[in-house]
Formats: sequence, structure tokens, C-alpha cells
Amino acid sequence: MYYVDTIESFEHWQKLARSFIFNQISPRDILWNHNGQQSLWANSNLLEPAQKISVSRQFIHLAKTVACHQDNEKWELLYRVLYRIQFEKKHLLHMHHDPDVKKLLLMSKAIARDCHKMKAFVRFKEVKKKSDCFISWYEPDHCILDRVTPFFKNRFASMHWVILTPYKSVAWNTKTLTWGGPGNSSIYTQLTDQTEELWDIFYCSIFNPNRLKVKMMKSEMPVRFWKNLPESKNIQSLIRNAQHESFKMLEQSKKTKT
Amino acid sequence: MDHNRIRKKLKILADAAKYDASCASSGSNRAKKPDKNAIGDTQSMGICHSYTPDGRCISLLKILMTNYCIYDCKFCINRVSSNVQRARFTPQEVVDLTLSFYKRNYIEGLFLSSGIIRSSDYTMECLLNIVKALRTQHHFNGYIHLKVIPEASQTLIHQAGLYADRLSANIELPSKQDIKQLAPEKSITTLKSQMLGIRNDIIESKHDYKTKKKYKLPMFAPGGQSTQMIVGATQSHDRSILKTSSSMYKNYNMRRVYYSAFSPIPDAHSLLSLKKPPLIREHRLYQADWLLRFYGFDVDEIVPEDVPDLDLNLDPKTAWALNRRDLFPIDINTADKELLLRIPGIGLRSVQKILHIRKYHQLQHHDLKKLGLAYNRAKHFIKAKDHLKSSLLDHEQLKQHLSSESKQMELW
Repeated sequence: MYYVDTIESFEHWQKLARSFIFNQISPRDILWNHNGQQSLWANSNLLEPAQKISVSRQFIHLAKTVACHQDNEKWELLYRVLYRIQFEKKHLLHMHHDPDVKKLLLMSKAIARDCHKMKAFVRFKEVKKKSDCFISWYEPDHCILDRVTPFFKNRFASMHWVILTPYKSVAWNTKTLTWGGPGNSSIYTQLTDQTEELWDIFYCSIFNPNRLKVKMMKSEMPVRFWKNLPESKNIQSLIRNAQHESFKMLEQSKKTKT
Repeated sequence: MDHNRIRKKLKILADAAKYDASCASSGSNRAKKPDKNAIGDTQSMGICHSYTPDGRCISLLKILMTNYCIYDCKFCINRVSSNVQRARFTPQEVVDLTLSFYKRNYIEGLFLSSGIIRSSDYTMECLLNIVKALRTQHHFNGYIHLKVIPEASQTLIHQAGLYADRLSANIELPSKQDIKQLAPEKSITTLKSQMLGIRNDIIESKHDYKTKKKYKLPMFAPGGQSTQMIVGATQSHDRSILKTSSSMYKNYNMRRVYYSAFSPIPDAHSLLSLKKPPLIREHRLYQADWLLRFYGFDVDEIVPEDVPDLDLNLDPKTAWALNRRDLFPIDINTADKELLLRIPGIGLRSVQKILHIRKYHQLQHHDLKKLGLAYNRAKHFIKAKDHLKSSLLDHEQLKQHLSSESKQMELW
């Protein structure tokens, strides 16, 4: 049996996986996330040193994505799939009905969605007028800040900005990125930005009370994100007034006709 | 930015813009010039930054430059005879709003439309100047969707397309008679020649980009053109709507046709009877539209002459399949792609998955359940490696069965 401590990163997992594969260690003989009790290093001398192995680009892409997932089972699952690709089924990743593959793809989909939602739902507040200086507090479901940062760097290249998350932070000063530790929401929540009021007005005015579809909104913009979205404070009252607004319009038109 | 002044205008001019269904910010590939002062980018896949309780996405700052209008289109909240409050943004105000929303990551860009003031060309020129200022003075690289003003000259449209990612001219109604009745000032002939002009400019610009390697020149409307039809304001059948859509896709290379369920507006014209917007019909039309574009269906198959309206209880593919049971069951392990696409409950992505898997493995019914397709609908229409006893393909109550299943499935 091989015991593995907490995996620190994708590269860490990759190094271990390479030597396991090279030595043809079955996934059944490895215990992952075996925090602190007995470590791999106890029996690592049994293994040949790590060698590069050839793996499809598709798998590497998938593994790097799934590595961001907050569920620590991912390392075990990734190794099992890798092992099966190497020694059992070369085309395993095409077998969407296979339980391991299905789970892996679901995890990867969750990461992609989380990244997409972060690009959508980060809200900057202006710190100082004129200097184009902005700050945001965001709570992603997974550890995706590294993956999403290039998007913000590219889009807001000429601005100074900081994105704080509960696990990591990043700052951009128009030239370089600086990474930092866990952020704190208090700086963000205490800040007021006048433009938010205009955004609220727009949000309320673009809503059509005759087409109320709350479920649809919630499926695309899950409630857990609301607390950091300034516009969400309007949702309850918009829903509450919608029926009345819609009724008023219909009544009014009946009157003008008679 | 003077917040007090803008607050009032924004309320009026966003409210006036909400009947335009499109909020897409996708499909553009505006090359980013290396420019230190530039702000923004456009990606091939747009981002929905927020959702309102009507379930619609907010991707763009969707506003009118002004809701004053000299036209009198009966279905429109901004028609000259409507008693709504009026306002007009200055170009600077539109620019400021767009930039300050964009920098806070509220939006992907701007969707600018307008009522017609003075003349079509005057209005179009005002819009053009706003987007030109955004692009050239403020180095804005975000998405811009610009509405083409009816009757505006081709020269102005040609210039606009060099700054906008997407252009749209709304046909609004599916037939000539409808337009004559409800939008008397609009000419279908001019509208179509505008669309044709846009189509030709897009083709030419793409061609130049590829063959003459004119990478530095701005592309003409790289996000293509779209249009919109209002559903339920007139008696027109779905067949007439879909025929029009189909011709829009074929003749004008339309990227999208949007369907907008006619929704009650304040101070509506007496010609129109106000009802709840036909949302399910709108949804079915979108489904039918997808069948036309991606599934190889023809309008006559979906809405034949003798049944000119879509079934509201069933998705159009299922409705079609129930009338063509002679083509089923389709063998999931041998049928070619075109046939697989015709199976109810199986979409494009599932077809891709099936094609991959079956190279190595003969699919059984329980495999299909794991592929994320609507198995309960699909199972009646397919043949897999193993036999399924519960197929209702030859039973009369299949239609009833699927209708009630579809009621439970959907979000309504």
C-alpha cells in the first residue's frame, strides 16, 4: 500500500502520478489524502524515480481543470482514470457513460461554470476617482482565481485593480500582477460607489414585469452569489410588484378601449 | 457625470429599450490592437453579467439614445402617439455610462438603439457619432450592438459597421400585411435592402481580411447581423413567422432571429388587444428555430400548411416525430448523424457523444441514461443493443404520455 499526504498542487500530483504509472501501481494500492498518518516517503524508495510518460493532451487539459476542484477526491479519481487510460482502455475519455469519466467531466464542467460565473459576477467598486483604481471581493466555489485572472488582466489592462477572494488575492497595476494570501470582505463592503445606484436603476428598468420567470433567473444566477451582487437587493421588490404592475397595465388598456 | 440628471434619463431610456429581446454579446472577434489606453475586449463567447426576475440576461447596457420618435408603429411603446415620458441622452452621457458600467464589470458593452428624430439619416448619424467616440476617443474595445435606423442610408450603415460588432435591423412582423397595418411608415423593401447591404459588407470584409490580409483594417460587423420578430401582436401563424425566419437565414446570412412575445405596454394602441405575453409560444419558436439552423429541418416539416401553428404542449421535434413514426425506431448504434439528430430528446452534444462512444462500444439502453439526454422521451424512438419492452412507439397514447412528461420537465 502507498500512502499519499495532502497534495499541494497539480504539479505535485503530476510528479507522484508519473512515478506511480511508471511503476504500474494499481489505483487500488494507493491511499490518497492520508493526512499525516503515514506518508508516501516511507515507501517512496520502493519506486523508480519519476519519468515523463506520454498522455493525451485532452487528459492533461482535463486534469489541470479538475485540479481546481474543491473536492479532494479529485486526485484519486484523476489517477484512476489515468491508470485506466494507460493500461486498460486507451479511449476511455470518449466513454461518456463510464462512471469515472462521467464524474471527471462533471467536475470539469463545474470548474468551467465557476470560471464563467466569476467573469460575470465580479463587481468592482471604484476606490479613488481619476486614478482608475478598483477593488472587488468575490467568493468562487472552487480555487479558480489563477485561471480567471488572465481574463481580467486582458480586459482591464489600463486600470489598477484588486480582486480579493477567501483563499487568495491578486492585484494589477497596469504592468504586473501581484499575488497575495486570503482576502477580507470588510474593505470592499465598507466602500460606497455612486455608480451602483445607476446600475440599480438600469437593472430595475430593463426588467419586464409581464414576463416574470424567477426560477429561470435563479438557475442562471444562483442565490448564493446574490450577497456580493449590488443589484440583487432589488430582486425581492421587483418580484413582489410585478403582478401588480402587469395587472395595472392590462386594466389601463381596457379603460382606454371602452 | 451628473448623477441626478442621468438617473431620470436612464430610467426612461432603459425602460423604453426592454422590448428588444437580443442581449447577445457573442460571435465577435474584434482584434485587440496593442494600445496602452485601451479598455475592454470581446470574446467569441459572450458573458451574461446579471439576470433580472424575468429570467433574461443582462449582457449589454441596453438603452435608447432617445425615445422621441416620429414613427407611429402600433406595437411600440415609443410611437409618436404614445403618452410616455420622453428623454434624450447626450453623446457624452452614453459614453460615460458605458465606460463606468464596463469598468465595474457590470456589462460586456453597449446595445444602442433609438427612436427616430428629425430624419432617419440624422438619427443614424447621431448613433454613429456615439460609437465612433467610444472606439476612437476612448479606445473602447468592448462589444457594441448598434440598431440600424429604418430608411437610414447605406453609406451611414457602412460606416457604423466599422465600429459596431453587431448590427441589427428589426423586421418586427412576419408578413407584408402585418407591417402595413401596424407599422405604416416602415417599408419592407428598404428594410430588406438594408439587410442585404449589411450582408454584402460583411462578406466583403471577411473576404478582404482573409485574402488581402488587411488585418489592420477594422472588420465590418464581425458579430454579424440579427433581427427580431414580435410574436402574438397579429394573427400571423407560426408557419408564416418561421418562413420569414428561414428566408432571413438563407438570404441575409442572419446570425440570429429573435422572437419577442408581444408584451403589454403602457398606453397601448387600441388596435392591439393586450394579453399576457405568449411565452410558451415564444419558447417553441426558439426551439423550431434551432431545428432549422442546426438539425437540418425544413419549415414545411415543422409547420406544414395544414397545421400552421406549433403544438404548445410538445417540443417541435417530438411533435414532428409523432407524425413520422414510420421513420422510427432509429438504431442508435448504426444510424448516421443526420438521423440521430432527428430523435426527440437527443441534442447536438449527445449526438457527438454517441458517435464517439459507438466506435468502441455498442450502446445499450442503460448507457444512454448516463449521457445526460432526455432519455424518457428518446427511449420510445430508438433501438439499442438490448431490447426495451416499454416503448410506446406503436401506441396511440404516446402523444398524451409525452405531453404530460414535457409539462413536468419544463420551467413553466
